[in-house]
Amino acid sequence: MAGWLEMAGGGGPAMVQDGGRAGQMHHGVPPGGALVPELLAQANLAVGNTWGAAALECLGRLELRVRGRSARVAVDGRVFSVAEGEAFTVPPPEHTSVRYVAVDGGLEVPEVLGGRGTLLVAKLGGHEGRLLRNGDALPLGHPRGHARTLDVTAALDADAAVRVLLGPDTERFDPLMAASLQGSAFAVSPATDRVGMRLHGPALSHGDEGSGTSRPMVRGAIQVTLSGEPIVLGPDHPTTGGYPLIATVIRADWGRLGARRPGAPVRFHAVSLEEARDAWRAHTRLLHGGD
Amino acid sequence: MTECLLNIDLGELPEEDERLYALARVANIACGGHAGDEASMRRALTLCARHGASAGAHPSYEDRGHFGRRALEVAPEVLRGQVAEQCARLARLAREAQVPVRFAKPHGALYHAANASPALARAVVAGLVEALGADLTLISPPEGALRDAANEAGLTHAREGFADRGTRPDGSLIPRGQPGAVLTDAARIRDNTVRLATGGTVDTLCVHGDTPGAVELAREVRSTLDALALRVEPLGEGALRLQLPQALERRLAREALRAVPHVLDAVITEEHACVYFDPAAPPEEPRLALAELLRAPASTAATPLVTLRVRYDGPDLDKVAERAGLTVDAVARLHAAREYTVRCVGFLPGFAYLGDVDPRIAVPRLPSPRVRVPALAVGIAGERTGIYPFTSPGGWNLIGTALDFTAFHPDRGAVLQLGDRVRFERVG
Repeated sequence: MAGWLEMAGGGGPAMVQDGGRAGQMHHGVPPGGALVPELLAQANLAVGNTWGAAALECLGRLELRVRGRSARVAVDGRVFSVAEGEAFTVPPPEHTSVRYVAVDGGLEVPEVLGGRGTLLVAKLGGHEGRLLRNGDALPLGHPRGHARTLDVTAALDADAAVRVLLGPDTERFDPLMAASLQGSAFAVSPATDRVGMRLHGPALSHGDEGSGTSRPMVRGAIQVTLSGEPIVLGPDHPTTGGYPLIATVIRADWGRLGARRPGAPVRFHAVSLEEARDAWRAHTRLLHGGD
Repeated sequence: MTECLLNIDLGELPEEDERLYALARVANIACGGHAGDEASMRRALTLCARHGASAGAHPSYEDRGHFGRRALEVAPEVLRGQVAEQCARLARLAREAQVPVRFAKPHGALYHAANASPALARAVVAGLVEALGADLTLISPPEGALRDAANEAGLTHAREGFADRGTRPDGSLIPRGQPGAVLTDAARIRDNTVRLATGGTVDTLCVHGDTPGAVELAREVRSTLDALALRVEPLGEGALRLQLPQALERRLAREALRAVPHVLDAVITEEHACVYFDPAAPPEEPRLALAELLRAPASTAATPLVTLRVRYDGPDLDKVAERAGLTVDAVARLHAAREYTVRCVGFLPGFAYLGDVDPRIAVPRLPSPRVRVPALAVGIAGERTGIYPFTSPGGWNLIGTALDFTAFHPDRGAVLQLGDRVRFERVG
């Protein structure tokens, strides 16, 4: 018998997220998906799900209950069994920006445009397109597969540099700015969400006056505002934008950056296209549990 | 990579197709040696000017009987005089027509003979400089005596390849008269063009004006070269951003790019296209998918016309009117008077950038964006107008509210699609 996951008490913001919805950018729909794919994968694999199954992305403490059946639950990589009707508490994330709660079988909220994740700005996907509230009940899928562990230590190393590909708007910047991007210490601003991560640090000046037309965007793109502040586009980014892009965070490091909390230090390190591709291949193997 | 230019040998045949001049970037004009007379040169120069092709001199051995394709024994000093005389004839007519001649290429047997003989090559170059001056680009094989002579004389050199000629495994041309020497199959010519233009070994490709079906072949080569000349930049390792020429039909461009194997999504903005893919499986040269669209201006197929009802009650209406020096009523009237086209879908799910706004009311973005713009607000930013599909932050001047409109369906996506036509109907 299928069960469901119930929000049993108040708590910090949480929503349904998964591996993302590719191929909808032409509708203006960003790829979405977990802010930290590695932690989503770790939680899902720990209860036998595929890495990108729908789970809870939590920013604060949650009280949850499983109804209709017992369940194996993973909070990031920590697994425990929960009896039918039993309530349990998920503490707020301690070292990372978000944490994930996966239940064996995954959260079977309806698939919208190829994904189950919540896109808050469009009130789309997840549970009614919004943050979860007390009393919400999320249907669970059927458990399958066997548990696997995933070591995300290296991928999410909080001291490691975040790798970028420089460009494509390099010529719109002072030539020294690419060096400044790599040589400077930045810090995650509190004004950070799934749309974008703002960074405190030295201004990255450019000659733009904001008159340019909108251009295509991608998650990880580092756009620089007129005042020189870098914003790294997150999973729910606007699909087009007018600010120049000094560099793009490589996919393998989206989670490494997304996991950092406000105030955490960020350094950037430029790599080649080949290195970025190799890193992605290795990272894909990691997310799939080394298969 | 610099752009690879299509050069076509022209002014050789009486029934020559004018369209070849529109396709050529450089027209090598026969100047009497192997073909051509004053009338044909005048016509060729006129057509160069009309269609924007650069004029080039195409001197030859003086052998009209064999179309300059037979090797002759000509002493270097005599050859210099012949080349100078032929080119001077073209130069005089070009001055009359006020068409600059900045390119030159020896024809047929002379092309091959001079490239194998430093003495003949120097003679050719000396003849060219005498008639045309040294501000000249010599088109010749990538290596050989002609290139060396051009360098010695301070001319620019363009390394030539042949889009419509078969090559041996070592890269040399299959001699005329042998099987496979001249390619006429469009697909093979296209492959040849891509190989040569992306190999970095040639600066210009030749199509012979007298090859059967020359217009079609030249069109194939030109559109392939035009596609490969589009600027392309990686946007991270999973996307490529392409600069689009103004004339390219956006909706068809999106469809063509979306159909490229391994492309997962294609987004069109005002000046760019972007293809998205798995970095582990990138698409092969997506620009080539646009070649067909570059070949001919697309017939503008009928696109849907959507009429949206708008109440002109936006909080910025007064300011827009004041800035435009118009009444509020006039702003509303001008905004509703036009038919707009969806130029881009993006920013938010279902947000369509519509253009062009009447220049009289095309006011710039707000100096700092609003934190909260209500859903269905109608805004203006420069020459674009649009409807906010959801409550969101936004920097456009809000002039009205769309009625009975859903911009985005969770099951179908954006309601307004690239290329759709939109009219606003003023209500109340």
